[in-house]
Amino acid sequence: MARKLAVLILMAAVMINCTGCWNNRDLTELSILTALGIDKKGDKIEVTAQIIKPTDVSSSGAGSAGGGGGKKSYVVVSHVDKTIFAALRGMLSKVNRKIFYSSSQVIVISEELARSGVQDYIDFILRDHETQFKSLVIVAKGTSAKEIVQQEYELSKVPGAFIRDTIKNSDARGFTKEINLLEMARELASEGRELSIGTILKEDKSTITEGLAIFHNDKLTGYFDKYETRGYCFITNRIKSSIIEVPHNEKPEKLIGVELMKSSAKLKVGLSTDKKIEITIKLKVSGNIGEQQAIQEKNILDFCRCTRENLEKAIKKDCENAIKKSQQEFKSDIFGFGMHVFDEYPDYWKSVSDKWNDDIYPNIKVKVEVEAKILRTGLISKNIQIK
Amino acid sequence: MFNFIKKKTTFKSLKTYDNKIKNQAASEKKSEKASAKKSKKEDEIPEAIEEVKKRLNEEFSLCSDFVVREIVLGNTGKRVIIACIDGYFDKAILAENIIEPIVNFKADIKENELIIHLKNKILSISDLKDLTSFSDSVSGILSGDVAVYIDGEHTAFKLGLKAPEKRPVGEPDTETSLKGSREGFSENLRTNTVLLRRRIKNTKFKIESMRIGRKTNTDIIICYVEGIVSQEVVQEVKDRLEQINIDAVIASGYLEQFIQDGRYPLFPVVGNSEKPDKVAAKILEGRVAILVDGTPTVLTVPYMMIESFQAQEDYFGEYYFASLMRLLRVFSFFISVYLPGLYVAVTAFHQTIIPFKLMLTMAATREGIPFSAFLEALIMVVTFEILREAGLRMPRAIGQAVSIVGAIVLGDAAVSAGIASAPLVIIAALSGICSFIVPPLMKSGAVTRLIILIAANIMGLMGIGFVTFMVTIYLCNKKSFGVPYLSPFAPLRTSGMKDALIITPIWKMYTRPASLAKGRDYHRTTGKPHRNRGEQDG
Repeated sequence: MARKLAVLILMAAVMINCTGCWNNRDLTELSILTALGIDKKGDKIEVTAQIIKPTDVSSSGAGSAGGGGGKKSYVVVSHVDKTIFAALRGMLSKVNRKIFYSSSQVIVISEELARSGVQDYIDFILRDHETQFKSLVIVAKGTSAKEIVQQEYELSKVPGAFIRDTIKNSDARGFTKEINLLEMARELASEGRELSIGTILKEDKSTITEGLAIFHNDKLTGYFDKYETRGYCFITNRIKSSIIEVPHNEKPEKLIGVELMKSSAKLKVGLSTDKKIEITIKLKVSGNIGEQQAIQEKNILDFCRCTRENLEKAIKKDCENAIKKSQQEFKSDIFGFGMHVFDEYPDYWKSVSDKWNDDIYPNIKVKVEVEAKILRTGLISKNIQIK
Repeated sequence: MFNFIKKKTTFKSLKTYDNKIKNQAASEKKSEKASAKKSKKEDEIPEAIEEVKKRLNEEFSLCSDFVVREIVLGNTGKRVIIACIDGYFDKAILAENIIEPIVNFKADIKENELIIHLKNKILSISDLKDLTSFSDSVSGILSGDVAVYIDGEHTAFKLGLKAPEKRPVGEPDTETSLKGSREGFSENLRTNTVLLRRRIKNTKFKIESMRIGRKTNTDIIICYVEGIVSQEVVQEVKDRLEQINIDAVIASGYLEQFIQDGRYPLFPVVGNSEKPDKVAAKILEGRVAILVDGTPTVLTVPYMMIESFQAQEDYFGEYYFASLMRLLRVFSFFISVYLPGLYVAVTAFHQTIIPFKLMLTMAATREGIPFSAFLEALIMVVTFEILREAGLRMPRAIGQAVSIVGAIVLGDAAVSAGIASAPLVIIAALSGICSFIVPPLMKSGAVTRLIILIAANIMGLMGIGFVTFMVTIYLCNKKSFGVPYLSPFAPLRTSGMKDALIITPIWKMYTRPASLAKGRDYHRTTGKPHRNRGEQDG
């Protein structure tokens, strides 16, 4: 009996000492962080934390009716220090409770910091055990991260979650890229693919998540507009649905809105005899006609065929613009073509991997083939006739 | 042949425990031994009626309920003593059927045929037994029989007239069922055996009796169906019962603690039931039932954990619904054991795994509460136990007040006063209510819940895992009368799965539980033994 007890105590002791859970902190002892902004201030870093007041958030129904309508449900605290870790700790002089940043919904990186390189700052976020790999990362275009984090939204009491949701909507739009910390680290670390992060823009009383920030190594080099971003999303298979505006065949000023339902891209890498990489991207999309401005005069089959052709052209244009810009302007292989080359021709890749982005990538031939399908034309097959 | 009963190991604990009691009652024993020695010499019933009378009066001195009546045996002029305890039976029957025939005895027969004549022609009593030892006659009197001593004879009679006051056979409060029999066992042993006998009309259904308790001399009955039950188990039950050294058996729970496997079992290893149909079904599966006089609760062994989740209604059709309910019972048992611990572990250690929106809600409800989640959970869980216990102990009329105080004052007010958070009140109430769904495991569940709660506070999910491992190992190791406690899960018996988590229709349950009916009458329809073990048992 005594031996059994001793074994039991020993096992418990081993468990307590050899596992990570040694410290319990109650939920009430934590301040819940929902958004983290990282700015550059000279040679120091300014970390901005958006801390939620849970009671103000959850008492939405009764609380807002009771009074104090304009009261914010969150607090923004920022602190300047040499490292992120020190800045976060430094905040404890301004916040009474330990900051719990596993709950961070979004991490905003300022343009300035991105331009100077993210390598030095990503380390903490990856190394620390409390950061959440599922936090989405976004670059604040033309503004500071602090301003984004401070932004108040009328629709939501948790701005961090609001931004996160708008980024997540990208799969229905394709105008920005949803990327979390883990993927960001992967894109940074993988050979033959450059980092690209979605961008957030400040608007009058809100923000817009549109566009893409293109990185070369770890430094920001430029931006895609939203159509180029959609091209990027098509090629990298990130799109689930999107509305594509297609000109009408006979009256080009009138537009047809096609709702994409399905999109899949297939990449084929070829190496020509003169050691040139040729990449063929085969896109298969299908969608429904969702909106049509011009009155349809042809029969429905002809109309669908024309629309399909125009749709193929439109998508092809998006993709080609994106590729061209990344090749010529940024010289940054954000699509990860290099990875495919490595998969197909590892020996060739070894010989070019050092100069891939600068010399090889801008000159490779990329062919985009789009195969579109119109599935349905909506509830009405013809426009209503105004008489 | 059968190595599933490890006699040496199972009895080791029992024996040591017995020794303790033996030491405690050493002085008592000695005096009893002395008296036993004395009675050996004089245990015969004395021929002289005066001697009988003297000894009876000695034995029953200061027993006001003891009645001794001296009459004359008709025309023979022999003196007869009738001794009994008052109140066990109707006095009119005694006067009509015993005293009258004896007094009016008129026959001209030889001296040596007198006894036979008396037995066969005079005493019109169905239950008549010869007695040769005086101590037997005394215990007979004590159990409510009438003893008849005749002058000049070494033999006495024991006449069973017993028709005691008894509670009518009613529905037991502890186990109610919507369908099926509403009969319940009563305090009277004979009534109880009849309830069982009526359900198993078979001579193979054996009802063996014995007595336990040096002071109380309580009647115990062991029931089983010969041919279905494993004889090893029957022998084991008898052995364990015989080894019990106790002066008083007031309830079946006394015996339960002596015969159960292990000295301090955390989970019940002996079945309890007040329903004859349930006990009959268990006996027919190959179990042994132990009935104790004066207790409506019948013990059944061996007991497996899955029996705790079985209910009578499971077998009354709608097997799909019964399966669903069985799963629900298992699920709610886990809820009742784990929920408070999980809440504490998640809020204190692993906030990361809470979905963000849920975390906001939880954080908001916990805002301003002065206690840690653990303390809060402990308060609520203990409060629930207090309320439960109070509801049980109180007179029924006040029960309503308890529920009102419990629900409104302790629940609602605690939340609005900021002493407990609303989710925790829900968790404590849910885990408490879930524990009622599986009544046999309610007590062990409450203890396990507390252990898990404490472990969760020290080590988080790791602690919960630790306790779970320990308890699982303990349960896997546990045996009840040689049958693995977790069967049919560990060891896995696929045939037993028909009545485990999922219930198959009765016509599909054509075999008895393999862990119980080893070899013998395994197939219900054909009565054939198990194909692998058939030859092993006779």
